[in-house]
Amino acid sequence: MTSTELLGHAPESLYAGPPFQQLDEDVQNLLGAYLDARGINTALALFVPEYIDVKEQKEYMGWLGRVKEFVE
Amino acid sequence: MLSLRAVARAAPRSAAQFASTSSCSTLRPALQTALRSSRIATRIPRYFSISHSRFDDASQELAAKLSDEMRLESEEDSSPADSDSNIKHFLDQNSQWTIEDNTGEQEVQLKRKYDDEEITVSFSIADFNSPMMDGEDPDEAMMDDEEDIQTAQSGGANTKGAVNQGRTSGGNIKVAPEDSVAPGDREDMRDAEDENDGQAAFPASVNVLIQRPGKVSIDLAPYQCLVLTCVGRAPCWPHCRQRCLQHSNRHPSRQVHRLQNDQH
Repeated sequence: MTSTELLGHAPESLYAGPPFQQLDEDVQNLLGAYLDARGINTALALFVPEYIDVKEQKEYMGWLGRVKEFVE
Repeated sequence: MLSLRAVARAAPRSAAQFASTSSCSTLRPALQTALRSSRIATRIPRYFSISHSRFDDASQELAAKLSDEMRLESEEDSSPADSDSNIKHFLDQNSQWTIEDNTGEQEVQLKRKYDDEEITVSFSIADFNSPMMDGEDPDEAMMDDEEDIQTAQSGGANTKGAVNQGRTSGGNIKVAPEDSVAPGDREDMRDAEDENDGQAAFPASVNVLIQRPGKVSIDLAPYQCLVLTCVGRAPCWPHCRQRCLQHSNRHPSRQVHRLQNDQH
C-alpha cells in the first residue's frame, strides 16, 4: 500500500482510540513531543495554511483557464 | 464561515461590474461586456480562427467572463510574495521534508524519513474552501486548558514563528484573536486581519502517517503505521499540534488517531 492509499483508507470499523483530550495528560504531552521530534511542529503548522493559500490560488487560476478553454 | 478570500473573489467583481454598468448604461449589453473585458475582446478573434469556436452567446459570455476573472485574479495577486518567501524559508530551513505536489490535484504530501520511519504529512487545499461548521468552535472546548497552552506554547510560537514574519497582523502569532476577545468583537478582528494581509480563517486538517518496518510483525504485516489527524483554524495554528489534536473529538468521523496494520 502506498502512503496515499493508507491515508485515504480509513475503515470505520477500526477502533480510533478515545478523543485526544480524554487521554492521560502525560500521554497527550508525550505524543506531542513524539510528533515534535519528527518535525510535526509549530513551524509546520504555520507552513501548511500558507502553502494551501498559495497553491489554492494557483489551482484556481488553472481551473478558470481550463473551463474557459472548454467553453470557448 | 466562508474563507475571506473566497468572499473577496465575488465582492470586487460586483463592484467593478456596477461601476462599468453605470458608466456605460446607455450602451447595449453585448457592447458593455466587450468593454468590460477590452483585453479579452481583442483576443477572442484569435481563438475563433484556430479552433471550432462556439458561437452561442452563453459560451462566449462565459469565456469572456472567465478571462476577466483570470485577469482580475492576476492583478490582485500582487501580494503573495510574503507567502512565497515564507514557504521558501520553511523549505530552506527544513530540507528534510520533500513536497509532492501535482498541479491540478488538491492533495499535497510532505515526506521525510526519521530513523527507519517514513513520515507522510498530507493535507488538501480543499480545506481552503471549507467553512467552519456552525456551532463548531474548537476553542470553546479548550477553555479549561487555556492557561496551560498559553504558557507552554507561546514561547514556541515566538521562537519558531519565523516562518510567519511576513504577516502584518502579528497578533495571530502569540494569541489567537478568538481567545483574547469577546465573541462580539471577533468580526471586527477578522475584518482587520483581512485588510492587513488577506489571511482568512479556515480549518486546515493534516493527516500524519508514520510507517515503520514491522517490528511487531506478528500478523505478517511488514509495516506498522500510525495515522494522526490534526485540525486547526489557521490563526490558531501557532498554538499548534497539541491544540490541533485536541480538536480531534470535534470531528469524530475524521479526526482520529488510530493504529492500523499495513496489509501490504
